Amino acid sequence: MRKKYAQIFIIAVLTRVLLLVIAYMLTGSHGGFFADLHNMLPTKDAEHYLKIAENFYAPAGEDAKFIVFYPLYPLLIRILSIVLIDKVLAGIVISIVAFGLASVLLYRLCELENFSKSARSFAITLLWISPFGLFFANVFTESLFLALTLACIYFTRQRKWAIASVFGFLSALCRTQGVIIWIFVLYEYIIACCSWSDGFLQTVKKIRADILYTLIIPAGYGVYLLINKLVQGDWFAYITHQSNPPWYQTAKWVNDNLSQHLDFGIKYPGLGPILYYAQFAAFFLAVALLMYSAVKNFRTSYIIYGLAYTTVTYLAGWMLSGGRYMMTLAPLYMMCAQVKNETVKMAILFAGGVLLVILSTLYLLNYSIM
Amino acid sequence: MIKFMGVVGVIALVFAIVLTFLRVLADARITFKRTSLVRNAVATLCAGLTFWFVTFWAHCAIVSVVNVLDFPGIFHISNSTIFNQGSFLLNSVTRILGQVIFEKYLGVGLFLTAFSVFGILCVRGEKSNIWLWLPTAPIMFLPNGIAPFTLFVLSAYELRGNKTYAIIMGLLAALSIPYGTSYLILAVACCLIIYASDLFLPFPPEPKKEHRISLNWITAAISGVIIGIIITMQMRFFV
Repeated sequence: MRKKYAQIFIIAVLTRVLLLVIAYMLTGSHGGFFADLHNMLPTKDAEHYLKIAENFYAPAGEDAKFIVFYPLYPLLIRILSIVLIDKVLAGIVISIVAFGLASVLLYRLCELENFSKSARSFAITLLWISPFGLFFANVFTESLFLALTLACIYFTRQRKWAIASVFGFLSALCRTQGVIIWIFVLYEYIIACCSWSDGFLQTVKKIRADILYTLIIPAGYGVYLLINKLVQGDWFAYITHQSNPPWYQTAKWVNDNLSQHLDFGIKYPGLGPILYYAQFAAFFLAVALLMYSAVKNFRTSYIIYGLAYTTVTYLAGWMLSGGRYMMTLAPLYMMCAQVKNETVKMAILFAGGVLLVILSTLYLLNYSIM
Repeated sequence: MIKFMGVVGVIALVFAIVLTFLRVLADARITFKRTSLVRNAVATLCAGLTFWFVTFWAHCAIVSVVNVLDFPGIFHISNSTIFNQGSFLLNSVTRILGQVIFEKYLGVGLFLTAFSVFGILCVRGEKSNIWLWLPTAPIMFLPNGIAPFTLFVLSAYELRGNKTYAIIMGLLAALSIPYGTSYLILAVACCLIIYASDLFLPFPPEPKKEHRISLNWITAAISGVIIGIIITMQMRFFV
């Protein structure tokens, strides 16, 4: 059994390495694989993570705005770079290892949910060829976030509340959407604790003892707010920075945001397909899958989590990374695996593969793949 | 067209939320046997929060649709007016009392009245579904008619065995409907959700009577809503 998980881990890692090689080759660069990737990969938000890893958050000045990025990933880069020296390399290693772990966790979760062997395989294959998959091998939080979220889900499903909450805590320290996993844990908790048949008093005692663990998850977000307060004197400093250039992000209704994506897609035809239409399509695909899962009696907690995640993600005005964000909504892979039609499954994998290569290459060529 | 696609997105999201809501209800009915107060309370909280969430989003979606369609001068509703609309019942009582008491206290008063009706029903009905709907309390405290409306509709549902009572409750519900097209549509949506929850939920094994969809309730609620629509549209000219 362990051999199987080790194989999945190794294959997952290899897929990322292979992707980097293929994408690099397609760029037509000749400066040397490692040297070129060292420049091509850490662009856009990756630069900011590296800056935070280097100097932590700045209390004022130009770099103060980087407090909008959550601290866990840069912190890990900082720690690992003590050994690896190179921060870019440290960031990539963390991402790829986390991706391997995420693949194993996804597979084990599918086992836990009694997925057929074919469905389990489909779920991780889909993860491996997801269109924005280059971010899983880059200096971005995607892999780490996915691994932590899946770990939280996995241990929650095993009713190991304490350890699940610790992973939830770390997830909340990793990204804005991290704290949403609390909803999943709470729902599972309610379902689980109310199924007990130990008698009234025992049940109440267990509820009190266990439910406190889940509070660790929002504490992760609390720690982030505390950092805001300590560094910049405002608990919600990051919100102010987010609303300013270059992000201009404030909460808006989902319909306004979707309209804006379409509008910008038309105004900027060069960016439409790779940026605006992509995140527009990602929304509808996610919602369609959630509806399909609800009709097909998929486990409710996953659907609730998916809905909350999608809603929160698409409440962000001026969003540029919708496709990437939706890629880390772990239950979507499991929901896709529930599709019975083999032709559809094949089409999904085919389309995913095509897009993965194209988008990865374009990213390396510094296109606006966010 | 661009705006319309945004609205389509929200409608899809709301539809997904409604489906999820039905799943939550299914979980609640299967998991929580109606024997323990604590279990029921937890189930109530769970179902109630979802219900509130669904209601809120449904409302937002309706406002969005109405604003995009923008029927000339009649149906345009701004987000700022979402929670500022009264109802026939509420406004009438307020006028009768000469606005001595603030509207919001009347709202709470109406809520308490309807709540006590619920309480009586709860005690009487051994197999009542009331616990599922009690947590609509958060919206009950809004100073408008949506609170008594919801409670009266649910009362009508609980009293579906008795046609007369059900119709009375339906009428009270109709009178409680707040002004504004969006709320009317919302009211219909609420009824449909309640109706659908009975139609599609996988019930745990229970006496056959529990499974049966009562035409009385449907008739009462739908006729109540229709009358409410008529009254509200009329009241737009008088209040």
